[in-house]
Amino acid sequence: MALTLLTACGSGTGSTQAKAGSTAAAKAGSTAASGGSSAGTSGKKELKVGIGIGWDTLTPFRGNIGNDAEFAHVLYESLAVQDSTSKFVPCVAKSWNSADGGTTYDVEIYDYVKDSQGNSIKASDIVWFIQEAQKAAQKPIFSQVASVEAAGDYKFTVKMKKSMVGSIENLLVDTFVISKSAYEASSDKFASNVVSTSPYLMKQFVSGSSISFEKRSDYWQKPELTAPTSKANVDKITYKIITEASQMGISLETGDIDIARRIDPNTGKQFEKNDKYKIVMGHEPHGYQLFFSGDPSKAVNSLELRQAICYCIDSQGVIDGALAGYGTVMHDVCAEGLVGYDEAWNSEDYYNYNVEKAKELIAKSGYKGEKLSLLSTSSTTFQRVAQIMQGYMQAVGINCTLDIRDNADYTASRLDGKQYDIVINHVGSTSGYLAATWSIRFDSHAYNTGDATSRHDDKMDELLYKTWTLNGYTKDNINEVHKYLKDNAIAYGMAQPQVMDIYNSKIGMTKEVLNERGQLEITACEFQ
Amino acid sequence: MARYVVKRLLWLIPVILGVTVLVFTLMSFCPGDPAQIILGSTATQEMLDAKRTELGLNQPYLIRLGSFIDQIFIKHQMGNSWSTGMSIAASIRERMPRTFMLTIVMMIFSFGIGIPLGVMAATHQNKWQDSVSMIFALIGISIPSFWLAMLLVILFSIKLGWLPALGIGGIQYYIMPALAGSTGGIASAARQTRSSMLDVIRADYITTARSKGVPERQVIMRHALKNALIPIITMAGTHFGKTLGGTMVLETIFAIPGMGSLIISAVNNRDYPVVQIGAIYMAILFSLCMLGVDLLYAAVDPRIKAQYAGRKRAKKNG
Amino acid sequence: MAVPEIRNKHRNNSEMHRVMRQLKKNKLAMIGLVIFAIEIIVAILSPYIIPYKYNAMDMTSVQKGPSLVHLFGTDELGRDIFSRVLYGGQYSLTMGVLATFISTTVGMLIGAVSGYFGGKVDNIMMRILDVIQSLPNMLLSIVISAVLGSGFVNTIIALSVNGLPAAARMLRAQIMKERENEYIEAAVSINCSRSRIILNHLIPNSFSPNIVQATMGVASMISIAASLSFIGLGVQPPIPEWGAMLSAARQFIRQSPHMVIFPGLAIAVTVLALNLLGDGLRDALDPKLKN
Repeated sequence: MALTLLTACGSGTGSTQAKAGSTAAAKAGSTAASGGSSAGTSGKKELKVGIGIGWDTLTPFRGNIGNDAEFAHVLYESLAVQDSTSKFVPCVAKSWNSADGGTTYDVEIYDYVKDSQGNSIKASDIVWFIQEAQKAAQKPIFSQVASVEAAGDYKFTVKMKKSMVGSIENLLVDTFVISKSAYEASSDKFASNVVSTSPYLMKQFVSGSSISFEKRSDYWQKPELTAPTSKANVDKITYKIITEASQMGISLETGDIDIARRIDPNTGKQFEKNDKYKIVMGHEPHGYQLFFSGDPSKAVNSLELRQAICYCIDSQGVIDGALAGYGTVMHDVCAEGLVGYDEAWNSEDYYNYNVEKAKELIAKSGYKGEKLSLLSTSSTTFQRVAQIMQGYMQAVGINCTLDIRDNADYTASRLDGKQYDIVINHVGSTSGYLAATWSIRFDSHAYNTGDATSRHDDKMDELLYKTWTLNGYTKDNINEVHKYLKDNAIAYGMAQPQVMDIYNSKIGMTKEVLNERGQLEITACEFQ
Repeated sequence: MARYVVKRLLWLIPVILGVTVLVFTLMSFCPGDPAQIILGSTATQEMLDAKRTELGLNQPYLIRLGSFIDQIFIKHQMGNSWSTGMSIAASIRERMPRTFMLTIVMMIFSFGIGIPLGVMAATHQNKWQDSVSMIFALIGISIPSFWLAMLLVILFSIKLGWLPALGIGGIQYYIMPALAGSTGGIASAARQTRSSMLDVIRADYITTARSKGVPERQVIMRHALKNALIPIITMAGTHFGKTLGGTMVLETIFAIPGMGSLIISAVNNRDYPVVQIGAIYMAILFSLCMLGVDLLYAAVDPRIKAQYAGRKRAKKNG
Repeated sequence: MAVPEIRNKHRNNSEMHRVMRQLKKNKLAMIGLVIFAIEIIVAILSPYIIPYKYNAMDMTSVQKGPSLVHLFGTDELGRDIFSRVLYGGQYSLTMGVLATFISTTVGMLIGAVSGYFGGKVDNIMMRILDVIQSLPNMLLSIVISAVLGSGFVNTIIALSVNGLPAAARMLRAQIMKERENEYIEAAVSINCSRSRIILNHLIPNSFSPNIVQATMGVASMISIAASLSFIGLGVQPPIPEWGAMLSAARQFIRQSPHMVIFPGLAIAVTVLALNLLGDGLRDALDPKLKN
């Protein structure tokens, strides 16, 4: 295999060849022009960003599939956004508050918001959007809205179905700002071309392949009040969809893209020692966790067995094996970085890897070698996590078999505790609050069958509900939930992945601006 | 002849209906709830129930099948994808040309390299050219296409910088995927060419041509190859169909948003309409392709023409 | 006048011998046969001869290249690739052989019934086959795999639809030719039962093209199984089926190409061997190609 020898001898760095490759590849490139560094005054002329998931259509009414496309906020603005400290700051909404402790909110938007066609955005547009989103029954937060109505040209009132901490922030972030008349005038309901208030104008969209934007000069907001996600220091930005992990690395090498967003750490690792590239590590507010089935007929109903399983898994091993070492060990079911997370938990013993203790507990539990099934999706990282867990369990004598299903099948089965003993998941919260995640997983009244693993635990519910109100979201109440979850080993957080962005040094980045996840807020960064 | 064409076209209808029923039925057995997929992991029970009613999932099988057939064939309304909400017709219109293009370039490589290889092997039968060509072709069929794809990317994109590593745009984007995927076709084309050439070379009219003093090159190119082409054309037609339906792997690696990647994500998302309509589309294309090949076959080979003419006469008489 | 039965058997035996002799003369085909036979033996013995357990993870030696300790290197979880390739042979080969066996057998039965009875039965069956054949193979396998789920047995079922229509048609064509023969007429005239005619007389004399197709079929089944794993359907980890290994390794192709080379080589060698054997069989069975 001469080919292999030829190709294998240039290992991950590709120094001179990459340069030659990049100019040639740029010539052959489809949309954006040459990626060379031209002398812009304060902004870089153009950037090409590689991303893993794209949108097939640009409609603002979206479900949860692929809703964290990296360019979402370049396409649409929201009412509020999170800054790099995870605080919720105004974007189109000027202010919001609740007079009655968290059920009804009064929101005021700026009175000079205009979209790219010059339409003025009024409160009625926002109200219309929220009502439409409810009807489309897509993102779940909209179904928590009991009613919403305009209270003037630039003010509206929204009443939530229940007072739940984090819900208004969630709503503000998930509401895209568009003009009702522009939407209705669009021939395909914004599927291929949008009109929004964002400082960027969409120039070209090839469904499933790429989307490119150009900065416009008539952005409505004053520079000093501009939200962090709406800063526009890049004149032209193109997002290319690259689903294959190794291809992302290759595109970075050839210069086909300048920035690789959320590159798989196994592929990104090869750029570590290379000066031509800079790596930015962020953290996802999601973690890899295992959840025990709440069905009382299962073997894992035994507390000792559950605790044994928690002890026998080395979270660091999971990080090394599945995440290429890019992750941190978790100390709660939820990941660090969520609002409400108590740093004191990091110094606790969270079932730290202890094989002896695990074996002791197994003996106490009376486990007789029954098969335990571990449910997981077929995505690569999940599979690795599952295999590593299986290895650890088998090492202490637990007979664990893997039940790997494709995404659709997994989604259908994960709520039914009868179908598995352990299920692994990757949950977090985009609204940023611990309570939101807990409520989806551990509230016995969330689903017909119980909580997310068919569990019925009244004590758990009691502790949970205490934390839901704005006043109840206190350190002590949160701690109680955390303790209950931990002592009863209801679920176990293993590894919080780090997210890797890599950019080519030649783009001349002078200041890295980060978002709430520690990733690059690309359009807000500063360039020479 | 015309009767034959019409008859074949009419046969398409029950076949396509059959495909529709088959795919629809298979998909209905799939585990997984589309409502859950569309609404995501945070949906409540009421939302799920409402969605299921909206999608018509609660009705009995025959009613769903009936309304589906009615919607597609009678009203010509393909509807929207359940997962992206995009118009299915628009998606297919955008993506099909890319898959088509990829398939055509693959065919060009397969037959452009395969046929000469086969001719060389046939004309030097049992000598080293024969063995080498055949081994070369066989190696081609044995290498997994995506492995070859990655090697090609490393060589041509990274080391040499001649071709783009992925994406779509001009024709240069299709070269590497096509090359990687055509190895199987090269092998089949080469072998088929070799065997039909061998058949033909031994035929009487070749000996006649040679004895008349026609130069060897002309014998091969003009007489032998032309007649040998007939089974090759049949094979090409089948191969085209197979290739058209098998581009999924290549589309994933090279980030080509074509029919293959559409169908894969639709299967994963339990997006029934997209899978069904995509499958029907492919089936229609393939059948038309086979019809085209058969017609071409009949037009090119006078013996076949006579056979059909004869059959008609026989039917009339008996 | 020789009794039809005896004449038939005689024909069978000398035919087989002739084919075997012809095959033995073909060096390439014999190499293919030997390679395939070795692979099968190794696969059967693999649980006893592999140096490491196929799922033994070792986080300290992750993605190491080939060495004396690990002949084919290790993968991203520290597992020995040599052991996994050998052990995985059981699955890859079994899937290929079983799927082909099922598709050929079922196909042949359909083809035989269709070819013998002709008329309406033939028409209906051929139309059903038309429907199956007008769907691209991969697509049908994917849909079936999605319905049944992943797993060893399910994948075999999903794979067996490939090649089934072709096997049916091939046999049907042969049978339609054969049934016009005198010895069949003779058998019918002595009230030989239909199933006997089909099973004892027609099929044995018609199925040689099917052998060739089946041999090539195993090769293509292994390739298709690899593609199914690529998409995420197929066998469950940690089973080291070759296609699944390739799919999991493709992410590491730049930094650890050995992870991709060896399973790929295993597939390539198997497919090559089977194709050589199939070619040889075809040459041996078809007297015309004997130069």
